[in-house]
Amino acid sequence: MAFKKKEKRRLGLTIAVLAFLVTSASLSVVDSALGEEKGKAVDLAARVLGVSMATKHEHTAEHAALAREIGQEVVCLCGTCPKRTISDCECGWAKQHQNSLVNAVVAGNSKEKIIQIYRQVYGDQVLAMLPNEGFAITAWALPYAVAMVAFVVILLLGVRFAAKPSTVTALTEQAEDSNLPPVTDDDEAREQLERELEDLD
Amino acid sequence: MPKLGYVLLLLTTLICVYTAAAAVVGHHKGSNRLVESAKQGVYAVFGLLTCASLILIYLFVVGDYSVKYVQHYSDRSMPLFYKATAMWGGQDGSLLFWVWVMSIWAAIAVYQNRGDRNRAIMPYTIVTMMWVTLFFMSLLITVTNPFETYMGAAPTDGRGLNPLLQNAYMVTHPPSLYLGYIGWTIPFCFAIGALAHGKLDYTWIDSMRRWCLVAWVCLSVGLTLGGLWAYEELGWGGYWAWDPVENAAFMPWLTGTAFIHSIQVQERRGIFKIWNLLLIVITFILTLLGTMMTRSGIVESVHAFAQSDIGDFFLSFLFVTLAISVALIFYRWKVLEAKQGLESVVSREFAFLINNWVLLFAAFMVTFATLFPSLFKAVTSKEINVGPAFYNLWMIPVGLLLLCLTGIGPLLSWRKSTARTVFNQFVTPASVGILTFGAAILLSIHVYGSATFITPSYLPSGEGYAAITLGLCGFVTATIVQEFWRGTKIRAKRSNEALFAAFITLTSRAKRRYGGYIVHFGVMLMFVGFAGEAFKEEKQQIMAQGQKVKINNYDIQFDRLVFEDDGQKNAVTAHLSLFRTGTNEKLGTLTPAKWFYRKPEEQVTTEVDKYISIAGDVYLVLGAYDAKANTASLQLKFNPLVNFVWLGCAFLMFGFSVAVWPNKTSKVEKYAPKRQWMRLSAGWASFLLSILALVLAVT
Repeated sequence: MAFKKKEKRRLGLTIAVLAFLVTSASLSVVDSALGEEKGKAVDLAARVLGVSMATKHEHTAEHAALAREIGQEVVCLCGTCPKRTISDCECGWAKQHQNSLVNAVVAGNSKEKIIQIYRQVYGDQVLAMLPNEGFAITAWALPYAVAMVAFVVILLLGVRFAAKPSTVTALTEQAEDSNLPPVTDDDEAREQLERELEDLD
Repeated sequence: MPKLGYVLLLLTTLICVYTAAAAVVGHHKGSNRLVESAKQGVYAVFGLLTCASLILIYLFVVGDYSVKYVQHYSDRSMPLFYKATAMWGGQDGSLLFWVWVMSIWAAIAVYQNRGDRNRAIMPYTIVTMMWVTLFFMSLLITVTNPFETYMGAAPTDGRGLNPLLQNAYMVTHPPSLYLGYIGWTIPFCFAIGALAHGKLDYTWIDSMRRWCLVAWVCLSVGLTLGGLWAYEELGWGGYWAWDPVENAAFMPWLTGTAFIHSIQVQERRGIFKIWNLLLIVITFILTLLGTMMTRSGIVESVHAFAQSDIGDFFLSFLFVTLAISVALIFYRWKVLEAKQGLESVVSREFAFLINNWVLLFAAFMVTFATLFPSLFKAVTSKEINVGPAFYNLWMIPVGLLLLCLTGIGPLLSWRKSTARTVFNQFVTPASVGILTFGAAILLSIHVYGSATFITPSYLPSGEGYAAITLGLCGFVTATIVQEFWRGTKIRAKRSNEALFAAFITLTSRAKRRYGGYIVHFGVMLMFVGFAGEAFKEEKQQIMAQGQKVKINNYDIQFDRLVFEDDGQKNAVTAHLSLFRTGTNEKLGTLTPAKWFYRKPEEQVTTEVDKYISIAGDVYLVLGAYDAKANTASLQLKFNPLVNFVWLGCAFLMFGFSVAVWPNKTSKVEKYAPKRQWMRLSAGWASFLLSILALVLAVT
């Protein structure tokens, strides 16, 4: 049976629409079953990686260690925990991704590739550590800048205070007024001086 | 009844306006009657807000579901205990609670300063108190009215309180946090009162010193209780996750800690006046920012209040308050400028200055990192996560630097320390610190089996940081012991007393100093607990009946699953026996559970169970289970040294009660026995509470 060109186009369009609907429906079923709120397919990363999330495939200790290492660089997005890393979180969402990570490692994916796919699917919010790129560089640079400014301010304050008249005279006068001993380097006198100053409170 | 509650709120607002006006007019016209009337206004505000709060609690207790707030946060099946405390379970009620606590503090402050005490600065202090109260009152009577009722037929039952909030800590954690948070408002009000009047000597700080300590200890206890709540209720085995809501309370704690150290320099040397004013303003602004962050939806958190529109109100109030405060500081700049300088960088005041900058940097880091996701989203329209890894990268070194300064500060003299003094003072603590560091390395290798102390990027690993922390803890402990020992020795020699008698006399004669050392000891104990994080053990196991699993030095045997229903919830409890490894000595039965609440929306909570010892907790969480096969999936954790965190908090409270204990020889006792009695009662109360906390922490 030969289809005309126009009919072929209609058939193709129908199949495409049906495929879209079936995919959307299945995704929404999976989403609602797993309580995903944000409308993303929870196993999208696993799909892109071409692995299952249900159970872990047979794996070695090295595979598990690498999967755990990767899991510590991506966070759980279940929405109920304080964004713990996938390796550390115990919720259902994290458990499935722990399986997915082991299976992805067993399938021969590198750490960089797996993390890249997670970033593509979930965005930068999935990263446990801020990326050192784009606007996020601000978060890395600013603390250093503030620490530098603080250091300079302390230095300047030190210099400024040091430049002011010494307080030895004033304090010695105060000490004389209070019948306190003059400042010496002697430990006992230091203790006594401080304690008696304390008693003045 | 709800109408009466709302009328009381309106009346409070009017009285706030009158009180502020009476204080200003009274001060400018020199009318003592008007100023006294303003003081009575503060008491009236306290009385009215107490009535309004009691009405809200009553509505919860009787289950008046015509009130929206009551309907949203309680239901019939809730125990009375939680109904009474549900007042601060949601946004509207917690704001009423905020302003109620504020009115209590304000009334106490005014009572303390009755008569001629601080007469000059009290009017503007009262105005500032009313300014803050008025802001919250305007929110309560417009956008967050807790007495709002349903227009139509009222529901017959409520939605129920979040099960995570149905916990004994609900009674203690929010009040202590609020007492601390709002406690900082009073010193701020006094600072503004002093700035507005121009009386900027040490008087206002002297009046506020105890207030600051009370606010600081309440906030510290509130933060620790929050950690304990998370540890016992959330089931992820930790107590601190750098969550925005936790950070909101931590930010003012950092600047408040800087303030209570810095005022000592002003007291001793008359310097840092501007700095102290700035610190108290920043602390107050951070309390407001924290309150705003958790309520406006500006940050994402698992336990923030529901999003609302009050963020703009808070932001406006925050900016106006900040602008007025900074303008007043600039206006009084000449008076505030230091007349003298630092004599040497090797002095206690310079150590305090460094301590202040480090604390301020920590506060900046926490605030910046907490707000960065919102900033990032505003700039790039994308979401980003600033998680514990980023915080820990910065805050662990900062924390260690502060711990180190805790040990260094007391060893330095005021004004100047010579090389000989420094050597004499440091040689013992430094030696102890180095020895402890070595012992920590050995402990890490032989007890916990960890031998990696440096990461490939040449930074300390978790174990490396733990060893440094324990080394510094040794240094701080030796410093404190040395200070007590030298003081006792000198006292015994001079007064011919026995050592113990000399120790008691010494501590009782300089309570602030030695109470402070005990607080430092408590902080050091908390750091021991933090160090334990590096050595925690964790296992996930599906266990069949009778199966045993080993973790640390314990064997855990799964006995059975038990199913119960108490009307409010279904409970599935796993019963497990705990043995010391290699023996048949049964240490106890652990019962982690899952609770399935019927309301609200059939929520599930994880009820952990743990075996507590000073070496660490065996911590069990029930995951999935199979009733037919009688199997359970369990997370088994061993959290080493975790109880030192709670123990540290108990010492912190004990040190506080020593520091604020009234002096026998003070003028207060001589002239005002009633006030002395009150202070003694407060001292005993905090002392007994700290003993109770200590007992709870170790059992």
